[in-house]
Amino acid sequence: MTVPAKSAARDGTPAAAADQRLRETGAQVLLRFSSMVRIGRSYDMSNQVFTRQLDYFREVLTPLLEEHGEAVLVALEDDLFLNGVRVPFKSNNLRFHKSVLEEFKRRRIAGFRALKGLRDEEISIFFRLFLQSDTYQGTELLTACLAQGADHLLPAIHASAEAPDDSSEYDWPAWGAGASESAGAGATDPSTGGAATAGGHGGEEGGGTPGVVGNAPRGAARKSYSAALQGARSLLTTTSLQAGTELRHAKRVVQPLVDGAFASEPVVVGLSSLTHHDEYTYAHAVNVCMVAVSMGHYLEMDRRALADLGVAALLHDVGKDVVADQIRHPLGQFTPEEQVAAERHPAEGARLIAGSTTLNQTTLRCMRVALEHHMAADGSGYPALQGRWTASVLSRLVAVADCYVSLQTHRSARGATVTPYQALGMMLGSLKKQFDPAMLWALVQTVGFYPPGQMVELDDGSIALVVAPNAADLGRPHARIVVTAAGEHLAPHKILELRPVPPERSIRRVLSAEQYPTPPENRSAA
Amino acid sequence: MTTTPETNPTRNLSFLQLSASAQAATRWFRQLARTLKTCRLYRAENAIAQAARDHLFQMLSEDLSIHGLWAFRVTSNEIFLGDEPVVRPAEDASAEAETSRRNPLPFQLYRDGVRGLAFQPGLPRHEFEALFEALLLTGVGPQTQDDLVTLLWQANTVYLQIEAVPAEQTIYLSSRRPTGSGGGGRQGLAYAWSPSGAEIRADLGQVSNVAQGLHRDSFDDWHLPEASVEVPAAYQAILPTMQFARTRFLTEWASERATPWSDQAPELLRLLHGLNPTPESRNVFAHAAANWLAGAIQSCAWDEAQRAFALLREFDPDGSVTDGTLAAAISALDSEQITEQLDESEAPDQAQFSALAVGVGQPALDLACAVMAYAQKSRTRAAACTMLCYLCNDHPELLAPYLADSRWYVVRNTVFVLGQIGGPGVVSLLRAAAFHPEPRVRRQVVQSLGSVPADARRPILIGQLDTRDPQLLAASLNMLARQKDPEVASAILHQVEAPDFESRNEENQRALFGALGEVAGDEAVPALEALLHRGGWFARRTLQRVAAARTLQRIGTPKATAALQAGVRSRSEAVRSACLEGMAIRSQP
Repeated sequence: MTVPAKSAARDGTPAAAADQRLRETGAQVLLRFSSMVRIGRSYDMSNQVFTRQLDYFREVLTPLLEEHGEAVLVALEDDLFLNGVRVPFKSNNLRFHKSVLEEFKRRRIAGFRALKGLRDEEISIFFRLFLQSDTYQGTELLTACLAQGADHLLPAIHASAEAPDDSSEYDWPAWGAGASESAGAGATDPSTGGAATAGGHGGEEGGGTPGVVGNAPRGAARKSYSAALQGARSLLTTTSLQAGTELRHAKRVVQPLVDGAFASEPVVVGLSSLTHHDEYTYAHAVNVCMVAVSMGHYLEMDRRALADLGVAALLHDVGKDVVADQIRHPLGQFTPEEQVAAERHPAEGARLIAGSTTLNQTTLRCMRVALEHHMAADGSGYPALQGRWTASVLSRLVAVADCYVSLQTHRSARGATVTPYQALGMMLGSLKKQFDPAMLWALVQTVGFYPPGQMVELDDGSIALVVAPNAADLGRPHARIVVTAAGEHLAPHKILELRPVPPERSIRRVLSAEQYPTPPENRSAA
Repeated sequence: MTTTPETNPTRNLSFLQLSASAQAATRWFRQLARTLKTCRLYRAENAIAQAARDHLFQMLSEDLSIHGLWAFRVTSNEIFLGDEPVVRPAEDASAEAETSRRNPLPFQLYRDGVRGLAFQPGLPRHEFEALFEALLLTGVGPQTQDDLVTLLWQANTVYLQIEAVPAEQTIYLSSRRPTGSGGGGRQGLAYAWSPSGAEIRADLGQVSNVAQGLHRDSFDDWHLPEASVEVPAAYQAILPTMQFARTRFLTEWASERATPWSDQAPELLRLLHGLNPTPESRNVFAHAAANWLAGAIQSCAWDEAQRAFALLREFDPDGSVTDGTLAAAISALDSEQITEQLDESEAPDQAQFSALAVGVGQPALDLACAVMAYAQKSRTRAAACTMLCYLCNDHPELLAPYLADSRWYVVRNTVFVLGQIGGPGVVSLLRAAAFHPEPRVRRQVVQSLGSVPADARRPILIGQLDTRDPQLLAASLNMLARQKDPEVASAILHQVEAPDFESRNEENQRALFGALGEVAGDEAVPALEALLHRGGWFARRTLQRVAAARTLQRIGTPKATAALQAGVRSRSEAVRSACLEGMAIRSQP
C-alpha cells in the first residue's frame, strides 16, 4: 500500500509544511503540464523545444516522487489536487489551472499519477498518447499507457472526496485503562472533503440558551472536531506563523465548531477521547476553542463574536513555543528563570500574532486573549499590567476554558488521574476566585454537572459513562451504561443508553480514576 | 462527489437562446457588477449608490417571485443556472484578462471557496445586503479581514444559501484497491479512499515519538489544586450572584464591542512594547503598524491611515526598519481601485491622501505614481503630481524607474514632475527621457527643461534638432534661441547644411533659419554666404537661399551686411533677388 501523503508526519516531516510545499509545487506542476501539452501540439516529440519542456516537467516531479513516492494530480469538480492537497487557485495560475482542467475533461480522466522511477521515455509515451485526445480517452488512455510500458505515468480515472466508509455515527470515547493509548480511535475520519454549507444555521441566534432535550444529539460532533483539529494543525505551526497567520483561514476552521454550538452538538465529546496528555497545542487549542465557543454561545454572543472567540482560543498559547526551550522542569519546580520565561509566554504570544498577521478586529482580540488569558479576576496571575488595564471579556472566557482543559491534561503524576468532574470541581472550588462568575456559570452550562467522559455510578449500582450534558437538567446527563448492575461489562456493540438519565433514576456517586472499571479484554491482557 | 468530465452542450448558447429564468439571471448579474462598481466609488450614504442598491434588490425580488428558486453553480470564470451559463468568460483567451477585470464576480466567489449560490423567493433585504456588503468588502485589494464565506456565514442567512469548500481541502489518495463498485480494479483507478487507524493518529499528532508539532506546548501553565469540590453544591452556591454577573458581563461585552479596534490598537501595541522593550519587539510592532497602514490605504480610510502612520513613526521614527515592508505592502495594493475612489472623492479626502503620502515618503512613491497614471480627474492628477514633487524634491533620481514605464503617459507625467522639481539634479533624467519614442513625452521633456540651468539643458535641446516633429522642433528652438550662442548656432547650421535638409517641411526649415538668426553671430556668416551662393550660375530661387539672406540680415553685423551687399552685386538673378528680399525685412516694422 502506498502511504497517503498526509502520513508524512510520521517520517518526522511536519505535515503542514509538507502540505504547503505541495501547494507551491502544485502551481509548478500545472504550469509544466499545460506547457507540455501546448508545446506537444506544435512540435515533434524529438524536437528540442519539447524535450526541454520534458526536462522541466521531470524536474518539477522529481522532488515530489522522492518525498512521497508518487505524484497524483487529479481534478475534482473544478479543483485540482496534488497528492490530496488542493492546488490554490490564484489569478496568476488561472490560465494553467483552466487549461489543465479542460485537458483532463476532454480525455474523460481525473488526472495523472506518476510514480518513483519515472523515466523520460515514459513521459514521452504518456504525452504522445495524451495528445491524441480523439483516439485515447478514459480507460482507453490508461490501457494504451500500460500497453506501451508507461507504468510510472498513468492517467487517473476517478477521484473522490468522499470516504467510502464515512459514517454519520460517532464512536464513544475510549474508557478504562486503555483510554490514553486508544486516543485516536475516537476520530475515524478527519476528512473535510465535500462541500460545506454556510447559511441557514439560524434559529437560535442570540435567543436564550440552547438545550439538549430528548435524545442527545449525535452525528456532526466528531466530524466538526476532526475538521477543526486538522485546520488547527495547519494553522498552528511555526512555519505558518512565520509566513503570516491567515486569520481568514482560522475563521473557517472554527465555523464548524460554532455551528455545532448553535446546533447543540455535544462537541466536548472529543475532549475526553483525544486530549489525554497530548503534547500538541493544536489538540489542546481545539479543545479550548470548543469549550470557549460553547460557553460564549451560552453567554448569548453572536456568530461573529464566537468566530473571533474561537480563533482567539486557537491561538491563545502560541507564545509557549517561544519560551519552550528555556523550561526544563515541571510546573511547581520551576527555577526563578523558568518562572520568568513561563510568565512571558502571554506577551510573546501577543507579539507573535502582531508580527504575523494584519491588524484588524479579529487580530486585536486574539492578541488580547493571548496576552491576558492568565490575568486573574482577583488581581493575581500574569503579566502584571500597570494602570487600569483589565482583561477583555474574551480573555476571561478563554482563561476559564483553558484552565478547565488543562486540568484534565496536567502533566503531573496527580494530573494523570484527574477526571472531568474533578476538574470542574476544582474550577468551582479553590480556583473560583480567579475567574469571572458568569464564565463559570457558562462552563457548567456547557459541560453539565457531570462532564462528558466522566464515569458515574447510578442508583442501581450500574456504571455509566457520561456522553453529553443535558441543558434541561444539568444533574441528569445523557449516559451510556458500561457495566450493568449485575456487574456485566457491556461489549461496545451492545449499547444501553439513558437519554438522559430519567427522573426515576439518580446518580449515586461520581467515580474517581482509580475506580473506573477495566474492560475484560484489558484485564486479561494485563 | 466525482469528476464529471463531459462537455456542456448549452455552454455556447446565446443570450436569446437561454431560458427566461436564465436571461433574467444574466441581466441581474450584469446589474450586480455595475452596482458593485458604483458602490465602490461612492460612499454608502450617497444617493446614487443607494438608488442602485434599491434597484438591484427590487430586480432580484421580482425575478425570484416570477422564476422561483435560483440555484447557481460557480466555476472559476462562469456562473451557471442549471446548465445555462449566466455569467460567461471571454470569447477568446486574449481578451480573458480584460473581461475578468470587467466582471470579476465568478473569480471572486470561486477564489473564496464558493461553489454554489442559491436564492430563495422571499429573500429579505438584510440578507441581500449581507451578500452585497460581502462582495463589496472582498472585492477590493488583497487584505480583507474576512473572506466571502465567513462574511456570509456570520450573516447566518436563511433565504440565501451558499455551498463552499473548506479553505484548505484535502482529499485522500491511495493505491489500495477500493472495495465495492465504482472504482474498478485497475491500477490507477483507486483514488477514493480515506485513511484510517494509525494514519489518522499521525494526522492528529497522536502517534508517540513522532516529530514534535511545530507549535510546542511542553509545560503546564495552570497549577493543579489539591482539592476538588462537589459540583452541584458549588454551582448552587454561585447561582444567587449569577443574574448580576451575567448582566455585568453583557454590559462589558457591549462596551468592548462599541470601541473601534483601531482605537485600541495603538494602546495595545505600546503596552506590549512596554512589557518587552527590545529592538526586536519594536521591529515587530513597527511592521504591524506598517501593514495596518497599507490596509487602511487600500480601504481609503484616511483617518485610520493617519493613525496607523502616527503609530508607525512611534516605533520607527526614521523609517529605517519598515520602509521596505511598507513599500512592498503598498505596491501590492490595488492602486487602480484607490485612484478610482480618489477620483470620486472630495477635495479634503484627496488632501488627506496627499499629506499622508508625503509623510510616508519613499514607500508611497509607487502609489503616488500609479495615482498620477490612472487618475481620470485633473484634480486627482494634479494632487498626485504635487505629491510627487514633494516626495522627490531632494532625490529626483527616485523617479528614474518610472521613466522606463511602458505607458507613455506615465513617463510624460513623470517628466512633468521632474520639470516641477527642476534644477541640475533632474538633467540626467530628462536627458534619458529625451530619447523616448513618443513625441508627446519628448515635448514634455523640452518644456520641463525650462526649469534647469541653460548650460545643462543646451545639449539635450540640441539633440532634439534632428526631429521632424514641428511642435517639438519649435519648442526646442524656442528655448535655445533666447540669446546669442555660437554652440547652438553651430548645431543649427549643421542641420541647415545637412544633405537632407531640403526634405524637411517648410515650417521646420523656416524655424531653423529663424532660430539661427537669433543665436548666430559672425561665425555663421561664411556658411550662410555659401548657402546664399549655392548653385553658382545655375542658382534658382529657393526657400533656403531666401532664408539664408534673411538670416544674414537678422544677424545684422557689418560682416553679415557686407555679405548681403556682395550678394546684391551677384550675377545670379536668384542670389540678387534673395539678398534684396532679405534686406527688405530691415524696413519692415
